[in-house]
Amino acid sequence: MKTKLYNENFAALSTKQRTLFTELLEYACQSLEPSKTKKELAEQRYMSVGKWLADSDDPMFEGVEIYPQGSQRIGTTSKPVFRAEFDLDFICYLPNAEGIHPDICRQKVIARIKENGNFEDLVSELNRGCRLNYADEFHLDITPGIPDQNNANEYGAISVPDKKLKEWKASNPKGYAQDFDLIAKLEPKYIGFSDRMFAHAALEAKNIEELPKHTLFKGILRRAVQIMKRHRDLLFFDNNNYDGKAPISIILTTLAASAYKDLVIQQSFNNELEVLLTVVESMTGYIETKVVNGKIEMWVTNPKNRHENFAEKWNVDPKRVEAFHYWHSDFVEKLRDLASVTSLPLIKEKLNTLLGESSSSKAIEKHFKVLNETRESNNLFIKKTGAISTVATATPVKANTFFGK
Amino acid sequence: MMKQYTNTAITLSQQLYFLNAKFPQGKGFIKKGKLVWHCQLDLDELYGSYKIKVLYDIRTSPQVYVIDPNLYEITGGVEPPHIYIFNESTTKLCLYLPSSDEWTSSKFLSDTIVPWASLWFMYFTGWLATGKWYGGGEHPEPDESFVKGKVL
Repeated sequence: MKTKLYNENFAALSTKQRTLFTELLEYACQSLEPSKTKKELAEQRYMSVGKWLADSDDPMFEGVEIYPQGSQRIGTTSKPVFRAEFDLDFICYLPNAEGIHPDICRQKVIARIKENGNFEDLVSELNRGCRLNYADEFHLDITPGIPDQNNANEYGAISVPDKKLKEWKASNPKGYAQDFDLIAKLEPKYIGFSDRMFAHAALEAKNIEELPKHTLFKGILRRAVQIMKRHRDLLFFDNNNYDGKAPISIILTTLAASAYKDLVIQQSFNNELEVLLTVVESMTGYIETKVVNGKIEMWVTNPKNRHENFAEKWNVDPKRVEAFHYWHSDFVEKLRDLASVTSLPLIKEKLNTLLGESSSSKAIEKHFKVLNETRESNNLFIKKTGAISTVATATPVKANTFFGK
Repeated sequence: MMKQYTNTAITLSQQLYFLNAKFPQGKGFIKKGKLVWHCQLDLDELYGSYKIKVLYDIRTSPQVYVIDPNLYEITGGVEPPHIYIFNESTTKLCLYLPSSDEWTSSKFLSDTIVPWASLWFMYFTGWLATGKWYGGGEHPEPDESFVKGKVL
């Protein structure tokens, strides 16, 4: 696998510098996620929708489950650009709705939600389901799902209304998420380090699943996906040339996960930054070319359904392929730029173009917050050179109060 | 700000000895009861390198000047927080609360003023990056003439 991006741009930097980049990217990603309070609120809200549906007398709702899908399920949420509301996606699984027309099913779900005065004014209809719009907080997008009608024969397989709502279409958000989780749990091998133990909680088999609880450090794959999505959102915001053509999240996520899976099995890395850069560089190699009905097609295959091509639209809309490569080369370029600077103000500037002003400011802020915690606990020292360090020297930094205007 | 001269005060020659012992790249001398010390502080590349000058006699508070780089040029004349003098030729830092015991003449410059200068530079680069001062501190009460001159 290629590691040009790392070897040519980052390998020569000091360990400290590389650690700093990893740290700042981690902090920036934390700032892209909903706060703990927001997560808890979202959890309460979708569970109360689930309960309301479960309380219905209509037999269609018997055994209903609501569970998260998409980025919030797999832990790769990225705050939308210039909008307060996070998009959170849910499946409303109806084990007893088989044989019902997809559009009738969707309408019945909407009608039931609207019967509740607390939800009524929040509901708007979507193609595949409906949205509860909590202003300044989040959109809860709910898609009905029924037992698999398409003989997918796989864990988690369900069927959801297709876009035109004429038939049920195969889908497997649970299976996809489970697969992604397994890949994300693969720990990269680091040169000079023995394997670390990785603790993780098993998913609880509740009827209404709890939102996944993410640990502080989410692993490099999830962070890589968040960074990619964020950069994409910024790059295509207000971009008339590629309006509506930006690569969709599932494509970025799938390519990154496929690259990550192979890389961590095949090679060892010096540090986390190298993992990130190698994934970014290798991911385009996972776009497949298949001959379908005598025509050459580009495929980003759903790992849980080899008949589903996430890049289906690329084959009828070349502008989308162009948009993907435009995104990828810009992303690589900006990561390269990041490695070319060493002072904090310039790093901040490069992070701005990569992840946006607010995330980069928050990353710098967090960097100093951590420094201040060390300062307050009297664990800073000064070296002979004048550099401040957490490594103990003969001269601790005593408490002081900066004064003056 | 005048400091009370007491018997506990550390002598200038002791101060100079420890400054040079702890920061061997520094150079200084004592002349006419005044200590002058120049030192280059090489922070991590993230925060940069700075040359400072410390002026001190036992009866006054130590004064810390930034000699290089010219911070006034770097900031385009925008004044960073916690500074006494800031113009094209002079940058003088405020590193501690006067009339507190953060600094007294019985403390070593090498243990207080110098580490605080390094710390100041770290927060200064943070300020350059985002416009925010992350190092905390206190601002003096605006004096009366300033309040009077203010357009309300």
